[in-house]
Amino acid sequence: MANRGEIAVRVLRACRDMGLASVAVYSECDRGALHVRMADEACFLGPAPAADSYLRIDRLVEAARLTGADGLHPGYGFLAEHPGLAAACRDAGITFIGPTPEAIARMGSKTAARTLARDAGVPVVPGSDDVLGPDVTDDAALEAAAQVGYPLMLKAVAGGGGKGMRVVSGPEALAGALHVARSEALAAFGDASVYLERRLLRPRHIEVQLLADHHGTVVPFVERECSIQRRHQKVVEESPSPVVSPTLRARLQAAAVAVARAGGYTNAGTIEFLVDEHAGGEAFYFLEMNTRLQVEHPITELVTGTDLVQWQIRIARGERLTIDPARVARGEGHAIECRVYAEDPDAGFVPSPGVVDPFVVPAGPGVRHDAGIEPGGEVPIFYDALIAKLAVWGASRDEAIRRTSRALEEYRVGGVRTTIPFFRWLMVQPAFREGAFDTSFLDELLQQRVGTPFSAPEASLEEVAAIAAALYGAQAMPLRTHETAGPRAPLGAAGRARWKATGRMDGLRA
Amino acid sequence: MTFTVTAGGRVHEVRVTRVHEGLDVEVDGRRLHADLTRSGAGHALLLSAVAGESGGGVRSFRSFDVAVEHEVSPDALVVHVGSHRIPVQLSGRRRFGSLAGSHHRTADGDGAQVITAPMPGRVVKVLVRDGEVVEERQGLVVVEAMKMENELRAPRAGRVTGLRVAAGSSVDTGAVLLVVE
Repeated sequence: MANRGEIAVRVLRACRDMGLASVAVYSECDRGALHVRMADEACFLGPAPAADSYLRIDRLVEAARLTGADGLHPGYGFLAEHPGLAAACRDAGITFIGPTPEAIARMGSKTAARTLARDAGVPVVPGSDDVLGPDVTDDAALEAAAQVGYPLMLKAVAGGGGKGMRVVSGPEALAGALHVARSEALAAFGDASVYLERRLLRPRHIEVQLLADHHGTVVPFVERECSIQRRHQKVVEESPSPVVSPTLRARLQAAAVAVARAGGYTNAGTIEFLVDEHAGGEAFYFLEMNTRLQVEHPITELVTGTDLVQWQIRIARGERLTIDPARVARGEGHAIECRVYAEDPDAGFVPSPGVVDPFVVPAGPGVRHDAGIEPGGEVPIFYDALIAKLAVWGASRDEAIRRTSRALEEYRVGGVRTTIPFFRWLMVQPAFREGAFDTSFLDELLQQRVGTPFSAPEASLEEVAAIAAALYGAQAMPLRTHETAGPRAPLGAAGRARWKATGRMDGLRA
Repeated sequence: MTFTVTAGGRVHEVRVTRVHEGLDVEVDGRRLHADLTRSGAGHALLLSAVAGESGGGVRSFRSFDVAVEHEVSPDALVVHVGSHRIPVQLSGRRRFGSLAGSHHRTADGDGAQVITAPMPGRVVKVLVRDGEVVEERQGLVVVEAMKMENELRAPRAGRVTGLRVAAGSSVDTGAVLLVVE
């Protein structure tokens, strides 16, 4: 398992489910991480910065060789869409659990993928096929942009996950946006090249998961709605989309299969589309293909009863897909995912690294929780701040939303700030409940409420907080253990603090 | 012991007394019986009205999950009630030497604004020079942490002094980057 965090834990669970021995990898700061202990063996990669550890192809392949691993799962992020890792595995005789390096390279270039989709008869977003490499001048970029027309999107050629992406409203903003997009693209993907795409007015982001085996079978799954985005990053996903009709679903799935076949694609992948509800006739455009497992795969698993990771491993072994295509193309019920980040929603979502304690997570009917950390675990500054994914299933969309709200109330998280209060707020927004949103919806809504805290609870809870504070002041109640005893302290220390507090209480008799 | 507690903009007078079978809490003149038990991630707090307790030995409570975290200073606490995080100001508390003096805050109001790093990370870009006059909300420094670039902006118009960082510097939470006078 060549990754860390929640996705490493997810894949290691699939290995256990299948009775497969597994190997984790870790960097200096992940020594004590959950994923390391979920594997049968673990290999140290190097210092904490990803460039020295999780992005080292040579060390990952060496770790596989050393332990006799015959397969390597890349997870998502890091090297998952880097053809070099897939190629290095092949050269070393290790099965890469994903598509071939050729397919990754083909679909990984966003401009080449556009051409491929167009040739396969799938509509693409109007734009320029010219790549703006790092040496292209601002003047040349301005010229290319004038042909595409404003507003437009700058996107990383090697992109994915919203990184290296900027909206440009007019020519005056192009040079600045170009600089930022290139530096973000370089940092995230090691390639500063960007390209231009027309910006559609209020599109929805809808994607089709698929599995493809080595025997020519391609199975598309019921779509995921991913329009709830903050600065082009998905924050809430659901399946199915509240607006996709059976006809549109069939068309999206056929287009997804056509692109996958044209790309010679195998294993799990996702075709992303923009759907323009306002164009009439349910217009859609191919956006890009993600040649990996997606962060949001659990909601597809919930509505289709499929274990996508197990299928990735089985396909990589050469097995045939035996899933009933009709069942997974439709799914059952409704699922919603919230990506819980260690970020402070009341301070513009700045990262909030630190030791997470306590960390009590929701459970119960319809709730699936995928976390990469545990109580007392640390969110390091070196990587993505995603700490958990809450995925909830309900028989209807309404039930799924109510269950998500219920589950969010069950969290008890301290030590770091999280996006949980933001999700609690989002779940009761009328437009969200009605399913009336597009990719600009969340950014616009957030803009309107800048400065208003998400965590504002009702007055009765504030009174309870005042009582709790007074009880604390009267030393009837100690601080949370991680404040008094420090993280990972033996239980005895907290116990002693409690005894001391009880002792002091004796002086309080009226 | 009596405390003045501010929570969510409202000021409460809270008096805590220990009675033979637990805690007696008076909130803004209203008497409650409180029962506090250590549980899960903090404490279970059960509250009931003192009047009406004379049933057949059965008492009904409202139940809450509470926990207290320190923040900023001994008087500024963060209280968790259920999954809600509620900042609270507490005064009237007896001070214990070790807790005083941990007070740290940047200047506020109209005075000099100390711009500090909101999180540990790396300075990607410095957008201003020492002595430069800046407008309110003008970008000052771009700090990268967790693969995200965060632009720190001027909280008010003024002049940049004491610039301490350059592109490439690593900074910890609270590190002083510059001052806007």
